[in-house]
Amino acid sequence: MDTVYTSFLKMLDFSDDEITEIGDDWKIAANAIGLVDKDIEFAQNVWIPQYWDISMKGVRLCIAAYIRELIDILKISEFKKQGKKIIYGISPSQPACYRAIKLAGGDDIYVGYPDFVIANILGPFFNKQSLFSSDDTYLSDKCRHCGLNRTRINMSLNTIIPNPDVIWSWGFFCDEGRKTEELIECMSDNQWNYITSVMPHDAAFGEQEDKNTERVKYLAEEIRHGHRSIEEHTGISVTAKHMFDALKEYSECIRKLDELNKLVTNSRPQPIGGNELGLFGNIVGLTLNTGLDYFNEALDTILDEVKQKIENNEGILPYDSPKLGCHFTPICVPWVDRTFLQYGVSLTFSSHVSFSKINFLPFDYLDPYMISAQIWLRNANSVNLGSHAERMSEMLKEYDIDGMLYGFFSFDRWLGTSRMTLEMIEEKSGIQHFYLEGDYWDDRNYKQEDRAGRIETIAYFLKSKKLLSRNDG
Amino acid sequence: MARRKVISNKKEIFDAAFTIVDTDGVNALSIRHLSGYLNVSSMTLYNYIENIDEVKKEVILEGFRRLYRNGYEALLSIRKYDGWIRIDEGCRVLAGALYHFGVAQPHLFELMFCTNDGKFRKDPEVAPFYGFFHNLLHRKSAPNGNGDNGRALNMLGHITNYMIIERIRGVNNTTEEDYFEHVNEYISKMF
Repeated sequence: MDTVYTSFLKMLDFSDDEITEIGDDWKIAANAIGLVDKDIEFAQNVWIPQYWDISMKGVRLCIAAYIRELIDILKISEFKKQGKKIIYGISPSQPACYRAIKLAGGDDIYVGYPDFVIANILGPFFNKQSLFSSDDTYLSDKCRHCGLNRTRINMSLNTIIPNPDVIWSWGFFCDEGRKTEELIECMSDNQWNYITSVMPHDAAFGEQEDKNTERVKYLAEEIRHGHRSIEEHTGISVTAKHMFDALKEYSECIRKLDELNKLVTNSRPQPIGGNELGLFGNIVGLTLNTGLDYFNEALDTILDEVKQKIENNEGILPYDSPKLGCHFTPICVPWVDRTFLQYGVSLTFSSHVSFSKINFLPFDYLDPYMISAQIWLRNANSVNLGSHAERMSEMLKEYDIDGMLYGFFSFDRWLGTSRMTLEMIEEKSGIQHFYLEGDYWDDRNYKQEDRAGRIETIAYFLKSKKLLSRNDG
Repeated sequence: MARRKVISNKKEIFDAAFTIVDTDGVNALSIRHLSGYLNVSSMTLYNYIENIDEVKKEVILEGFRRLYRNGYEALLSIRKYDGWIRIDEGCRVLAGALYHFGVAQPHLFELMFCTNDGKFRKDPEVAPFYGFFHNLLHRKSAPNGNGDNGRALNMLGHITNYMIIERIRGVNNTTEEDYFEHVNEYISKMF
C-alpha cells in the first residue's frame, strides 16, 4: 500500500523493488531527522515542485542519490554494532582523499559527511531546519555560526549519529570545523576522536602556490599524515593505488560537472536553473558512502537532457535575459534562485564549485599525495587572496555572465580582505559584482520578504544594462 | 493606547522608516520617532534592529529599487523595435528618470546622495548601485569611437545630482526646462 513515504520515493524514480527493499529504512531515516508524514507530503506536493525542476529525470535521480545517502547515514549505528569502522569527514575538503579510505576499507567501513548531506536535504527539499534549531545552546544561530557545524553538534547531542571511530577535520579551508570537534569532545560522554589537518596561510600575496614545490610537499605530507592517523585509529591502510583510483573517479566526475557548468551557463536561453546546477555542484566537496554511481547516473542523465534542451532552443527565461554567476548558489534557501527568476534574471554556475583551465593542466608530480596537494592549491578558493583574485577573474572569463553574486556567508568569510579581493576581481574581469547579505544554510535571519527588494534592484540594474548593451553590436 | 510588545517583521520597521523620511525628512528619522510611529518602546525596536544605520541603509536600498525601476521603465518606453538605444539617448532618458525621482522624493534623494559622509557608499550591498549613469552606460571602448566614456558619465552624474539637489533645497529656481537644457548640452558635447 502506498504511504507518503513510498509515494515520495516513486516521485524520485525509485523502482518498485527498491521501494520494497528500502521503504522502511527511508521512513526510519526521515523520522530520525525530524521529518513527519506532513513534512513528506509538503515536500512532494509543494516545496520540491516549487523550487526544483523535477520534470527532468536527472534532477530526480540526483535528489534520489542524496536520499540514498541519508538512509545510509541513519544506519551508521547499526554498522557500528556490526563492527564496521566509522569515519566522518567535513566540508570543504578534497573528497578523493576520503574516497581513498573507503576504497581501502570497502564494506567494512563507513566514510561520509553526515552533516553536509543532512543539511543539504532538510533545507532544499523540506524547508525544515530542525537540526539547526533543535538546540541553540551551543553554536547558536544568533551568533552566526556555520550551519554544518551547528548540524554536526546537534546531530551528536541528539545521538542521530553515533561517535565515529575518527573524524578527519580538513582544516585547510575551514577554521571553525576543528574547534567544533574540540567542543563536541568536551561535551561528549564518550570519546569523540578527531584528526585535524592544517597548513599555515602564509603564502605571499599573488604567489602561485601550486608551483611552489615545498608548499605542495608540505600539504602532501599533511594529507599523508591524515591517512596514517586514520590507520592508527581504524587499522585501515590507504595505498597509492587507492589514492590513484579515487583521484581518477573524481576527475572523471569533475570533467562532467565542468561540461554541465559550461553548457548551462554559456547557452542562451539557459536550459536549467541555478538551483539544479547547484545540486550537482555539491559533489566537488562531498564523499558519499554509497559511492558515485548513483550520482554519475544523475549527472549523465542531466547532461543528455540539457543538450536536448539546447538543441530544442528551450530555456527557463527568454534568450537575452541577464545571467548571474554566483559564489555559491544557496540551494538550502532555494527561493533565492527562484526569486531572481521571477524578476527575469537567472543564476548560473557557482564559482566555489567550478573550474578553469588551470584545474585541468597536467600535474607536475607522479606521487598521488603530491597530485592531491597540487589539485587543492589550484583551487581558486584555497589559495592566497592575490592568487584567488587572479584565478577567479580568469575563471569568470570562461563564462557568459552579466554579473556575479556574492553573499550568504555572513557567518564566515565576509571580512575586509575578501571585500578588497572582490574589487580586484571586478577590476580584472570587468564583471559587475553584487553582494546579498544572507545565510547559505537557513533563512531564519534573512527572510524572502526582506531580500526580495534587493533582488529586484539587481534585476532592474542588469535588465537596464542589457537594454543599453544592444548598441554594442 | 498601550504600547505594542512585538513587531510582525522587520519590513514593518523599514516601511515606517521610509514613510518618515518621505514625509518629514532625513533628520526626523531617529529611534525615538520610529518607535513612537510604530507604537513600541525603543527597547522593543532594538530587539529587531542593531541601530539606526541599519534602518537608514534599508531606506536607501528601497530608494535605489525605485530609482532603478524608474530607469528601466523609462528605457523600455523608448526602445525601438530592434531594441536599439543609443548612448546619448540612454543618458537623456536616465537623466530624466533621476530628475523625476529626485523631485518626487526629495528627502529620500538627500538621504541617498547627500548625507552620512559617504558611509553607505562603502557598504557592499549598497555600493554597486551608486554611479547610476556609469553603472549602466560605461564602455571601455564606446561605439562612437570616443574611447572610454567613464569620466564623462561620472561627470554627468555629478552635474545632474548637483542640479537636482539645488532644486530640492531651493538654492535657485532651476526649472525642469533648465535642467534638461543643461543636460542635453552636456550630452551632445560629450557623447
